[in-house]
This record gives sequence, structure tokens and C-alpha cells, in this order.
Amino acid sequence: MRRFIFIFIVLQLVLFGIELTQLVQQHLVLPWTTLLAQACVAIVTGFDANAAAMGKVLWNPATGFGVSIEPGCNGVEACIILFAAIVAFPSTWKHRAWGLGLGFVAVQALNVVRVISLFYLGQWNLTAFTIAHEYLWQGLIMLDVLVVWLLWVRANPDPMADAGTGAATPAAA
Amino acid sequence: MSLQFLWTPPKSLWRFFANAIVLFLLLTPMWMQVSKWTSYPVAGLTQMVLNVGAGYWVRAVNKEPGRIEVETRIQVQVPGSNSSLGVAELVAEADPARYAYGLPLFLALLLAARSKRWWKKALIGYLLLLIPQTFSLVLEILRQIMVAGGRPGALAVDQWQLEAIAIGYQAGSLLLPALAPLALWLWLDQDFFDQVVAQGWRNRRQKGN
Repeated sequence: MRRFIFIFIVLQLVLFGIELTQLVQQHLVLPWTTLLAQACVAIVTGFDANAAAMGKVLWNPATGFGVSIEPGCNGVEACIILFAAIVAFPSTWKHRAWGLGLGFVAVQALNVVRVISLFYLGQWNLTAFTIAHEYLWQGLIMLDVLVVWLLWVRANPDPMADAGTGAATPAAA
Repeated sequence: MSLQFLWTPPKSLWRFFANAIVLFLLLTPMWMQVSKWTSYPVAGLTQMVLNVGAGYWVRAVNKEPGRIEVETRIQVQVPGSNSSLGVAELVAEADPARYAYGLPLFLALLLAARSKRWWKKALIGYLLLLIPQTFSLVLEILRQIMVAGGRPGALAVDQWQLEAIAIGYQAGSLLLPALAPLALWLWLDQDFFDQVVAQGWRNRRQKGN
């Protein structure tokens, strides 16, 4: 357990620090955020012709309302937490790779739902938008991370393979 | 695709997930009604931290349920004025509950897991969550001072200190508020992890033997 916590915290700090660098922001985070906005528009325009994307802003030219996808809204931090939790937990690299791949898809898929829901909530009611944006979706995305991680841990082929112990309950160790 | 990854978890785990989501959605609006009171200690702790750690900047801290106001010694130019009469002292303010939404998340996980002595764990969790919430609020206020205060010279700090505030603010606003309740729940509710999650390994190990 101590090993898991130590690696998890170190990975968190390193990855979060890397994410904040100008280089990564410019060449990875911002393009990803723009791609996310375009993906949301592609989905929304399937049933609503009024939506448009301008960089990382998803907006409705008819009403003038738009949502800008900022840090914390692009799912990157949630992916970092999941990444750190999966890599830190004793497992095989093959199992970790499945977890990282499917976890990334699960987090980003829910994030697309979040952005689209906020886009419509904001046009309907700004108070509801604020509550959903600042509180509800933050928690739901983290619950998504927890669900993916617990399922991944539960499906772990040999959780003690890396730990070098025979204990069956690493969380309580 | 790894068949083991697609292994179906027990109903108890799915029930836990569903209950956690529903409870979080129910508890958050309830928490919003009382958040100004439950987060009042965060304002008190923030005042203590600011007085100790940023005493040079802080002249006074005024707090009331739902609001903390920090009067600083930092002088800023009033927009639209260029004379010495247009100088004012910077005031930073924030809602102490802004980064406290982890409390309903923590309680939802605790209740969804049907934790034993949940009320005791809830109390411990509430008290421990005040720490990361204070960290987030302190950094929120320092960020406001940094952004409005101008260059490092005007704030009497080094560039690295400003960068530390910027990184701390990012961590305090983006990571800690949602991560802290999950980590705390996993720590306080190890029985759930052992019985529902780790049991899967034991079952498969026994089948393999």
C-alpha cells in the first residue's frame, strides 16, 4: 500500500508538472482541447445545426452563448489521475496498457457528454450551468475515474506479481 | 482484447457504482444549502495560514458564512486613473465552499459502500477534508493577489515564488478538490476494497488452483 501511495503521488506531481509546461500546453493540451471542441460540434450538429466551434470554444451563433473548454474541462487532469493510479498499482504491463487505453476512452467519452450537456444547460439556465459545471460534473468525472480503476483492479490478473509478496489484500496491507 | 479485463464484476460492485452516482447527485444540492456553514472552518484555517505564511501581504481577514475577504497591503492603480490619488489597496475575496464539493462526494461513497460506523468515518472525513480545502482556498487568494498585484517587485517576492503559487493554484483547483475525497474514502473504507474488489482475485486464484 505504501509503495502504491508513493508511486501514485510522485507520478501525479511529475505528470501534472509536465502538463503545465508551456511546451506541452502548446503542442499537446491546446490541440487536444481544440479537437475535443470539434468532436463535440460534430456530435451536436448531428441533431442541432446551430452549433459551431471556434478553437476551443463551442458556441451557438444564434444565441451568442458559448462554452470555452479550459484546463480542468478537457479531461486531461482526470486522465493523469487514472494514469498514475493504474501505473502505481501492482500489475502486468499488458493489463496496465488495457486499463490506460480503455480508461482514457471512458474518461474522454464522459467528458464529451459533460461539455455537450453544459453547452445546453447554459442556454437554458445559467444557475443550473454553474452548479453542474462547478460541482456536479467535477464529481461525476472523478467517479468515472474511480469506477474504471476499481473495475481494472478487480480484473487484475495477478495483483501481487510486481509486489513480490503473497498477500491477497494489498489495500489493507 | 484481454478477456480478464472484461470480466464481469459482481452485482455488489455495480450497485455500489449506481448508488454512489445517485447519492452524489442527491447530496450535492443538499450540501449547497449548508455549505456556507460546513465550510466556515475552512475560512478560519485560511486566515491562520495567510497570517503565518503571507503576513507581509495581508493586513486583515474578514470572514462570514459563505465569504472570506482579505485586505492586503498591496497597492494597485485604479483603472482609468494615473495620479497618486488613483491608488488603492487590493482586496481579495472568495467563497470558502468553492473547492469543498468533495464532501458530498466522500459521503456518497461512504453511504454507497454501506460502510460500518459510517457516521464516525463521515466526521473524520469532514475534518480531514478541511486540510486540502484550506490549501485550495489559500492558493486561490494568493493567485488573486498575484494576478492583480502586478510584477514580482511590486509584490516583494521572487519569480520562483510566483510560479510556485501558480502551480499550487492549478493543483489546488484542478486536482485536489476531487481527488482528496476519493483517496480519503479508499483509506477509511479499506474493508470495502478488501471484500468487494480484492475478493475477485481470491476467487480466481482458487479457481486456478
